[in-house]
Amino acid sequence: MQNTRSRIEARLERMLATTPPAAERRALTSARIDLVFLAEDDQRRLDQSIR
Amino acid sequence: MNRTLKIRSHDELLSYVPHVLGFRRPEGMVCMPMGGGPISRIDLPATAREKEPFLSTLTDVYLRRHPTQRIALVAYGEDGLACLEALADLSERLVESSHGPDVGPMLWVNGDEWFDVLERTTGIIDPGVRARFDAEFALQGRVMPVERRGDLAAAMQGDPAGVAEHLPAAEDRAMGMDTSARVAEVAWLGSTLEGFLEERSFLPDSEAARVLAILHDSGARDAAMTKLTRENAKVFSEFWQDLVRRAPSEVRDAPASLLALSSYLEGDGAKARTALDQLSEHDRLADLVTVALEQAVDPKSWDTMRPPASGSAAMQQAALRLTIAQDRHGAEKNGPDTPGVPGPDSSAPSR
Repeated sequence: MQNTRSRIEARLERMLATTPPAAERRALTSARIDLVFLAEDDQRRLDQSIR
Repeated sequence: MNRTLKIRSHDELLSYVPHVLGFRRPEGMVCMPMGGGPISRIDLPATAREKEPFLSTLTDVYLRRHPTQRIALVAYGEDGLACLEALADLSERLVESSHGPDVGPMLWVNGDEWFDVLERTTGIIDPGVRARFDAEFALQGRVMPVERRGDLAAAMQGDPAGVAEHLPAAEDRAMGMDTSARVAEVAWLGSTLEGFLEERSFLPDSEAARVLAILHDSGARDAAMTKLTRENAKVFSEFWQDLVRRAPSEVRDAPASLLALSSYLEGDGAKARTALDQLSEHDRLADLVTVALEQAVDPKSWDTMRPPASGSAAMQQAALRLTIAQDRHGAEKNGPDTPGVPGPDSSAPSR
């Protein structure tokens, strides 16, 4: 059996499989967006910081 | 550390944003959800045609994928009309949805000046507040933001001469390895990464060449990234960014792909995109990271997607050997001077 698929790629594929595709946006020319996902502690700190 | 910065004013919000984005002078729209969800930056639409992709990209994130209760919108730029139009269009699109967030504050920022669209007030970012935020982040051991987004790419360019000197010998050595030597080399790579996680010491040129010579091997990349988690991804990024800076062009793609992955996992989308821009050709890993970025997938699920425990260490070793043997077979089939051609399920990156 041939299987040289990398484990990190397989792991990322599993992550993506749990996410619904952006059906609405795919039809359009998508705009490049920079996203920042805060680490849990940073998010908590930010939530506490905001008035 | 439990220091808590307070964000109670526009000055504080605008002093915080650069530390989250990683650059001091952002351009375009910055959206900051309050109460969870990703912070985003996107270019303002330059033409009427770009308006709908701009709006649908952001509404996809904040109405569909990561709904939030409240969101601050900050438009950065010299063109006041473009900034104000973008703020008006986006806020309208967000609030018209039945499950949309409350929007506010809405700010236009030009240099150090800000204008509050809802309250009709203006001000200048207080340098004292900015310095306080810089100090707080420095105390947390954070890297200070670069000046502009474009500087992220400049930070990935370096001098490859030192590594180039050692690369031919390292590649000859890697090419001549039998299976057991490759297993040992992959183990060395894994321990080198572990060492970096502890010491944060960058590799000398000869060892950097040795890493680059083995990275085309999917088993080696797996071993290198075994310990990668969301929490330590920032340290992995330091390692791969150093190699991207020093790698000769013919072996730069593999560390750039791995830098894109670790940057995405640390939550830094701008750095991940910049790393992807360094690639001469996308491999499967780069394609997957691109999809993750485009679909705004929260990287926190990486840690829960660990591969299932696969039995004994002997079984893992056997799997590693199989991968190496297959990669090697591909390389031999294509001759010593040509890169291996990936089969339908192979993941050998372009070199």
